[in-house]
Amino acid sequence: MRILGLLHTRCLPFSRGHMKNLASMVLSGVVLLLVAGPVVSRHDYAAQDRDLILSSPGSEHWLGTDSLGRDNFARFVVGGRLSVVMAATAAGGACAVAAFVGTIGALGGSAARTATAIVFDVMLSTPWYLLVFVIRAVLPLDTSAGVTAAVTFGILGFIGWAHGARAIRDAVLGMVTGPWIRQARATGAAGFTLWRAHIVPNVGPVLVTQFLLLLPTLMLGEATLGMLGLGIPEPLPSWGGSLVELVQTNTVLERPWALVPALLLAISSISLRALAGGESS
Amino acid sequence: MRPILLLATLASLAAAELRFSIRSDPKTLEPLAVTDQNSDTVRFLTTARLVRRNRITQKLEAELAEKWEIRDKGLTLVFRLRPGLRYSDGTVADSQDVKTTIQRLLDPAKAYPMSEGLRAAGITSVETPGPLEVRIRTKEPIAGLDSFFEEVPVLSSRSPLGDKAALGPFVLTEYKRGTSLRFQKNPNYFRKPLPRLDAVRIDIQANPELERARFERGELHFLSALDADGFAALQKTGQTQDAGPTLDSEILWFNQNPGAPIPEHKKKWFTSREFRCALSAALHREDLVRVAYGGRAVPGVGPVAPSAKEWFAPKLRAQPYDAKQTQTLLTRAGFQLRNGLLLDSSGNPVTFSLLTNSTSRVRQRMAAMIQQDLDKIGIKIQVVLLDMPSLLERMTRSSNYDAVLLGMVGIDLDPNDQMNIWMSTSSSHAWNPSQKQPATPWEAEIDQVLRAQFHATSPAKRRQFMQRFQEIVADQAPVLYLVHPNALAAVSRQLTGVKVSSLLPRVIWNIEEVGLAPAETAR
Repeated sequence: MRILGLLHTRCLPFSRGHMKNLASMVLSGVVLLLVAGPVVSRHDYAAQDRDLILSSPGSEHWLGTDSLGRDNFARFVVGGRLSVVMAATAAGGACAVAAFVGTIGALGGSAARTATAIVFDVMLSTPWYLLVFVIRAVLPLDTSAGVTAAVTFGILGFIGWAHGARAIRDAVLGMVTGPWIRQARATGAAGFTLWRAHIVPNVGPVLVTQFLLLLPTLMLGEATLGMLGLGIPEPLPSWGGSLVELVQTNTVLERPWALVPALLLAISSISLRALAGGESS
Repeated sequence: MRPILLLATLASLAAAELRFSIRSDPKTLEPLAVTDQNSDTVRFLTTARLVRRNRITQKLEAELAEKWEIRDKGLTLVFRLRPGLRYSDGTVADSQDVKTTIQRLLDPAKAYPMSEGLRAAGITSVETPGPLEVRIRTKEPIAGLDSFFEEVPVLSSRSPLGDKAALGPFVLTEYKRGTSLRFQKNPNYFRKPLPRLDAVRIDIQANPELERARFERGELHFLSALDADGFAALQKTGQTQDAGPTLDSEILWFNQNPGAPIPEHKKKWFTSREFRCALSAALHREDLVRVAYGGRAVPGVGPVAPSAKEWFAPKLRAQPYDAKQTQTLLTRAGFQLRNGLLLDSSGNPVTFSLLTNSTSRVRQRMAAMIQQDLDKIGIKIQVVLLDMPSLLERMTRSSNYDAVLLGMVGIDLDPNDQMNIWMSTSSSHAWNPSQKQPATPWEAEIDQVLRAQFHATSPAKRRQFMQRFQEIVADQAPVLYLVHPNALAAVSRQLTGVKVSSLLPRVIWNIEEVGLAPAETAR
């Protein structure tokens, strides 16, 4: 997001606050669409109308139909809900782990610091995506589509926690050795009070930033797996699954509305990262 | 040096070089060890066989043998070779080379893919009464023995180049792993005039989208393995050809292995003829053809595709969608519908997983359609997409699966090609492999019928046996045949003499007749 930062700090008459407000508005719109979409949609996301495959947008099917005659809008909003809710849950879990391990890494003495540093390096330099293939291969075959989707996001969350943990470790470490915590200690603050009044309020924004950065990463991760056929299984829809139809270049030219999930995924990711930028500032 | 370089460039431009691509490296360049299609393409270009099947008429034609005959009531097969055969390095090719090639295949110390078929034929001796005659004797009459030799490349026993000495139309001159293979015209090729093409270049191109783009830019002269989406995308170029249904099938089968680590009640469903036939009748095959294949396929009938004109049982039809038949069969087998769920006689809800490979978009669509079709009769299925190694592991090693959706590639027209799948003893008998004794009476009958056709020398008798075989499969439905896809290709207007076939190799089977017109003329 360096380019975006450059734009809004030097070239455009927007402050970080403006960007944050704009991102919040966009995200609110997306959330509203995903919440209200299934209510206003008249179609079941899984129902196939095999006599109406790949139809253009119209009054009956607002975003046309897919290659099996399923309503694109219904699949798009339900898939979006699923992607966002599961990614948010996985990102929340990953941030909780990151906070715990990062704090241990910062406060646990030199042995803990070395051990967590090694764990972070291993986590960040291993091609964990192979894990998705392995775990998907050994999952019981009668695992429902919903559980498979949850497991997939769980793995993505597992892959993603180390970045956040390192950021939290550095933040906590910076604080506990910083002058203002020393000053607080000098004024008598200690133990729980020190944590509640000084450390948690200052680590919180770092954690929120990590969450906002991880959320789009997980959504894009699922989209990538969806393109490989290893995302959320049928009949459940997902934004990643919708992108499979874009693999053929002529799809983009002949049915540009098929790009909507990709565009919304991109807009949501940019907005979340813009929000994260606002938080970190 | 510059004038020389310029001359070399001009020479390469003037040379007629055919360019096409394959998706991955050939697994082997050893002609006898070929198991994959890419290696077979290389073998097809560089080797020659005693006989070759005309991919349009489906009849065997003379290749290295100028004629052949079956004598002694089917116990002796005699090939008469063309005179003056030479390998690319000038070494003479004669009956001795045929004999040593067959002996290499029959060597018990070797396990070549073709060996099993030749050993099963019970060859007792290979005699060479002269340099141009080969006599192959068998213990019992073997039907279609001449067809076996359509696959057997005649390799040199005397050339210093060994197996690299080419008897086919082209000689492999360069192989850059992961990038390309180059071939030059074999100056000693036995067919005269020599091939019209001077050279062939095969690029390794894993991505079908890039392959298509390169064809549109004129960098590749043909695509022989298009799927329905790719075919539709190229139709506007006016260079696509649909050669009709192939011998291939898209199939679904249930795990009937008694030792499989799946619940007993599922094994009971899967071994029930009524259950399998009921599900077969619940599927909309016409929809699979129309929606998943864009109409470029025909509904699946059985193990012998309708395109195998000589052996297909003409009375058989693809199982149509029939809700009433499904209901009757399920009721007879003790299943009942309760609250939208199908329950077996013990009250177990009928749910199972359907495995398929994660890289095939067409199969994913088919799986989603099957899921909806079966949902309508109260059966819930989980579609599980796996990478191919994981899928094969479950199918062949652990047997830990319920049902599989995959494709079956038909290599040869001869009915003997079915035996490695359908004999109950075979390790490729997918639903219950390597049986010591046939597990069911109908599998025993299939074994018997296939053995009988193997030894029947009269084509009419073989057709009768093959008809019975197809009837048993249709009646028992151990494998649900869904569709037979069409052979879809795109061929540049620059190419002349191409006759696209539904049989492999679809475009280059008559490569000696293929020519390349200058690009301007083609337009």
